[in-house]
Amino acid sequence: MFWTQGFKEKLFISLSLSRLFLIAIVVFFGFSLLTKKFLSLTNLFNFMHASVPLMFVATGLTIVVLARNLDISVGSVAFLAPVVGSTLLVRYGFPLPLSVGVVLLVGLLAGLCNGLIVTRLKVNSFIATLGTMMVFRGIGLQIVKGRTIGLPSVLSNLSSVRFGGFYWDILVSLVFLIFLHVVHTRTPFGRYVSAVGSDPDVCRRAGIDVDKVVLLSFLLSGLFASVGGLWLSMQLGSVSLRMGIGMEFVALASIVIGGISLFGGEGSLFPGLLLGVYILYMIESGLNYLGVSPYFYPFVRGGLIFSAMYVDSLRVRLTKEGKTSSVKG
Amino acid sequence: MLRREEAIRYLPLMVFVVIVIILGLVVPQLLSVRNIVNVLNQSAALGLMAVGITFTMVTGGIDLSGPSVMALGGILGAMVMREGGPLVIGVVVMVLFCMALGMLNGFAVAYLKMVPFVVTLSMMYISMGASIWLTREVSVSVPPAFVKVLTFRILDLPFPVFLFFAIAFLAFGFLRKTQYGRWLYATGSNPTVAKILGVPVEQVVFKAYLFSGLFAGLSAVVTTARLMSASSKMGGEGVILNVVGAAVVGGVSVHGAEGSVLGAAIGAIFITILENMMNMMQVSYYLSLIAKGSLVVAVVAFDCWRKERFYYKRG
Repeated sequence: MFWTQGFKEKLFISLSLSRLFLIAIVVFFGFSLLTKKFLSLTNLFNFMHASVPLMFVATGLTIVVLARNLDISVGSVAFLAPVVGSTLLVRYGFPLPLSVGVVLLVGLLAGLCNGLIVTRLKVNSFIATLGTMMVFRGIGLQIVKGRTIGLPSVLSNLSSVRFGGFYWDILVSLVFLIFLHVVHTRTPFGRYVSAVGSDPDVCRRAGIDVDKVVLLSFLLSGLFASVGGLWLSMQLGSVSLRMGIGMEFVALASIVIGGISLFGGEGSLFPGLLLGVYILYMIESGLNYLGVSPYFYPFVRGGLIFSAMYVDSLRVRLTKEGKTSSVKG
Repeated sequence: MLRREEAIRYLPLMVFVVIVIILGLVVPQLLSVRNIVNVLNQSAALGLMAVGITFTMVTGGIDLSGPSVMALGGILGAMVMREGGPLVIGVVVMVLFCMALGMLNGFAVAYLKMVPFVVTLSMMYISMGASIWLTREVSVSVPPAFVKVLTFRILDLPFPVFLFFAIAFLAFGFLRKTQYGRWLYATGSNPTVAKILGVPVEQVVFKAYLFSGLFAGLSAVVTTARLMSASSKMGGEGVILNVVGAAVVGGVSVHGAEGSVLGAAIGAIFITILENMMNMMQVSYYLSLIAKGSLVVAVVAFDCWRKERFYYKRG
């Protein structure tokens, strides 16, 4: 019969990818019909520009999710890293490149901290990063002591450089995403990430250093979260106190909308995550044009994350059933 | 051998008891009757939520939405009373609404097989967003009669303390003595085996989240009465850390099937004492976040080490 396991899985994957494209197209044209201002290049570039910080954060987080872990401290890292960098830059007069370097270093350290807790202390990643999420935010708040730090205009101008309406940072975020996509699909590390996400025990028996792969994924997540935080503070022109709160939720929402399985191992950065992020921002930008209050966005994100997760769990159940039945047969 | 394992499970709790006793001897005002009553009163709301999260943690899941659902329920109840609804209706709205959200979590986790952590994290942000949307970050005051009824004192102890103790003991007995309780632990230790043995796993998990919602509702009643108002800040991000902290310090394992409601209740009292001490020593809120976050990670790391040492090696 042609209705074999492999065929079923292939069908599901192609269906879920084409489903994503379909959703993107439907959303885009739906809003274009509903509001007149939506369908314009300016608006397209605007919401792509607005999604850049999240794109960075979600890109790093995706690697962690693919390796069957979660990192909910990304929002706090995206707050802590620019706090440290901007404090050094503004208050202590550090040179700009060094401060940016420090931002990235803080991100790496935070990722290292998460990764070591998960791999060495064997703490389950949800609880570990729930703890460090509060710790990182606490450290950041203690450093700024309740004040907003303004950034020099050089930095805020840098984030809004554009060529005929096209913000250059959209390109930067895409380059980073494609780079990590290539790492994921073309390097041994990337393959190990997917393998560990599908079945850590089998990987251990096959001689893969699972802990090293997980640690590296957390390092990447920390690094990308700090870049996302840096970019957000550049777009805002300052480091504000509430920066990054709830960012892990939005990042997770775009990850599950992008068809990346929370059960690990499956999904792609390109085009999966890319479409996930843009669908989310497209919907929010459309709602904005419809005059919906921003207070309403959490419901939209929640509804999207719930339905995407439902599809994910349905797919896992279907393929699992297929696997057990094929073993029996 | 089993005794030693039990002893090691409650080691964090015992360490905390010793720390509190030593600090009580060093700082006498900590153990004054007034302060103890104060601490117990503050721990009631946290303790009720810790009891709730224990149900879900025993199944191997977690309910992160407790505090923000509690805040949203409290706000809705307070709004009903502000519009002239009777006190009883206000209380009923708080409890039933939180139960409804708990049911939604339970349905998604138990029947739709979604990841509990992400489901309840989403619920946390959705209800947080809803309470900010409803109140525009202005607190809603509750009628003085409501406060009076719910904070009357018997022997110097306010009513919420009695409610907390009663619920903790009832829930403890419920999980120890009833079929549902045994099913809950069986589901947590191995859902596949439990299912083969005839445990209605889905129903058990669903009810666990329902109970978590119920206790969040009771906590909403107690919290709004103590603060004399309901606001979106009641379920702020630090609170969930307190709830998880109370449960893990009290010996509830993040791997499921271990720990008791009473442990979590005692854990809640100790977390409150910790907050109280940090307040007295004028530690900033920021530093207390760092301290509590590290505490949770340390205690869970200890739990994982204990599991590895005593369970996996034997097998």
